[in-house]
Amino acid sequence: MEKNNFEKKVQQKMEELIITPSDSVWTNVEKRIDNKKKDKRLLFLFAFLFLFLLSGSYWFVYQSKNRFNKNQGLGTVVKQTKPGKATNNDNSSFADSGKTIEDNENNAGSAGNSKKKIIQSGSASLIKIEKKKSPTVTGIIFHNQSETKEIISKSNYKDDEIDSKDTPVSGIERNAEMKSALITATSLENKIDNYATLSFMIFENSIDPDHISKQLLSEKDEKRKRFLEGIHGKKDSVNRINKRWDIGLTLAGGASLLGKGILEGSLPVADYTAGPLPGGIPSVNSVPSPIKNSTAFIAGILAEKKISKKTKLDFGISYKYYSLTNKVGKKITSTTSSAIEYLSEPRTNNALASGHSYRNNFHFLEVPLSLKFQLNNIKKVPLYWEAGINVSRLISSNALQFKSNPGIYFNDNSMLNKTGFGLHTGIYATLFALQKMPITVGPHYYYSATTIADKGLYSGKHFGFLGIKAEMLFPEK
Amino acid sequence: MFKAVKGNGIKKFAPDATKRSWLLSIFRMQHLDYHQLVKDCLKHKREAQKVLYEEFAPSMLGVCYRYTKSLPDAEEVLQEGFVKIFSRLHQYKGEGELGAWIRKIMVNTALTYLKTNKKYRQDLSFDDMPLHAVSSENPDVIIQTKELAKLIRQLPTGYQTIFNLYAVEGFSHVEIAQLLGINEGTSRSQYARARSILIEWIKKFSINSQSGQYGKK
Repeated sequence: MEKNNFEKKVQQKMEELIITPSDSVWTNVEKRIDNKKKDKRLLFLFAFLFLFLLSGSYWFVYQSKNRFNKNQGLGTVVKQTKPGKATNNDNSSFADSGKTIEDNENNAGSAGNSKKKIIQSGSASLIKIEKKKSPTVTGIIFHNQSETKEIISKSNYKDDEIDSKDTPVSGIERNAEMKSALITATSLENKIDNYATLSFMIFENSIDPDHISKQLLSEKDEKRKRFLEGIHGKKDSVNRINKRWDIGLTLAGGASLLGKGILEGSLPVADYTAGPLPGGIPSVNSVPSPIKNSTAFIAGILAEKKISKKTKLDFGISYKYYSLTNKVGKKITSTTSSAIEYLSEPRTNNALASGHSYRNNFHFLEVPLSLKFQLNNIKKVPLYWEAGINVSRLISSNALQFKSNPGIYFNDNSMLNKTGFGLHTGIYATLFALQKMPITVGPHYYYSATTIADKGLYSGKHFGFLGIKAEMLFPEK
Repeated sequence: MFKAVKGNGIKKFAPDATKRSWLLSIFRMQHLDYHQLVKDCLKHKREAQKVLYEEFAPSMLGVCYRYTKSLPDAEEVLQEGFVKIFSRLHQYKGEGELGAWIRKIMVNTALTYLKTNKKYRQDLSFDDMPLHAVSSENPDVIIQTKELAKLIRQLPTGYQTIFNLYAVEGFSHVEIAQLLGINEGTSRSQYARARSILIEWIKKFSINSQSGQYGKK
């Protein structure tokens, strides 16, 4: 078309348009692609570190999960892992106090199809199920936590000793497939029956039970009794999970905050005036020095109870230490009084007056009560949001009040409110949740709803605390 | 100085920027193994990246120059464009010319620049206007390349952009409407108006240059 000729000509002309860019363009391009490369490298590094930490944590937690909890170790259920009929018909034999079952052959499932052999000893019971056309399943049920660990650890390190008949795990072949199923007591809260499975280990086709029974049968009757008691008491012990309190320690460190509001910088209000000091010290109207936030820590004991699947109730008693600093002048020494008194810091034209720092310490005893709500569904590292209230009592303090006329600081705890109420909150992660002593750590914030004092230097001011809190629990045995 | 190597392989040379001409660059393009060049660029070989840049930067700066109002702005777009090219080079699968792929990125970079830069954004208005018929004029474009580029750049930003996209890049009005977020009708009208203005300017320029009164703007 004719009308396109113009466009074609323009296009041809524009394709010939070549302009040499200045050198700075390439320099800038170079820098930017280098930065992108560095960013990518950093990103890969972070991703690698994150994956490494994640897999390390998983491995660590997985390994600890494979260890028996002290609460476990009691129970007798055999689970057949290959197709076939597994029966628990013989469980009643274990509940029979005082009876030792040396040998028991039973036909389970289809007539004549399988053979079960149970050997019970003081420390463990061994069940072997043999079925035609199915792999033999052997189960060892351990009655005692420490023995379980010993046997497992020996079986994990296979060497020539394994073939020795004297060792409990003799007969395990080097390439034996070991399947272990560990069900913690806590996970059985919803599945409680008389013979709830607590711990068992299954070796498939790889163990000669007679070798193992040699060791196990040599155990004393006391252990067997313990085992039987454990069976009878199992239901109660499992049910107690919901009712038990876990005791632990709590520790927090951070900064004490002071302000009118929740988070506010601190500048005190000048106090009431007073007359001149006895002794002729001239009265001078002055203002107190600014009070600065300082360190604080909390240490205490706590009791924690799980009240629902994702909620915990915390209760405890703690010692709380707050400190604030300000600048004061020379100490006033008096022969007649032992009161702590300081002159106000000397005022000069220079804003940085030559006073010295004074630490106002506050010692509290407090009783916190809180609820913890689990935010995620990860059992290994559960995340909690905590919200609660505190009741605190001031035990002692060396905090200074201020008289502007004359300008002196003095200690008078009668001006401070002794009892206070506060609110606290925080978000915590529980590390080693599946182990013996889980540790919960995270940021913690506290705000005192009541004022420090109704008059004086701290009139209308509220304490606050911002820091990191850690709790370590010692679960009930 | 450079060595021309027939067949495959990257040609290595130490180019002298002052002596480089567009003929030389065309010659090099014809002899350069782009496939290998792209591979080396993906391995972050600085030399290969520089070769790629030097191959296409002059022509791409011409593209950027047409969309902007000043050379510094054009260089800014060029810089941004090449950063994008190097970061997205892994997306070039060898389908189509490398030059066309680079040009596409450069045009998109220029459009983004116009939309985000305050200086151009305000002027980049596409008001709905009465449909303007495309003039049937097809005058001879007896004007030098750079002068034509300057005339195009003197158009209002909206007209300039649509003219570049339609007449030079070869986009259809439907595609332009999608790129700029306007109606197809607006694109047609604005192009028609830009075309007629440009033709008028080219005529005036031609007359002036013929009469020896070359007026530079």
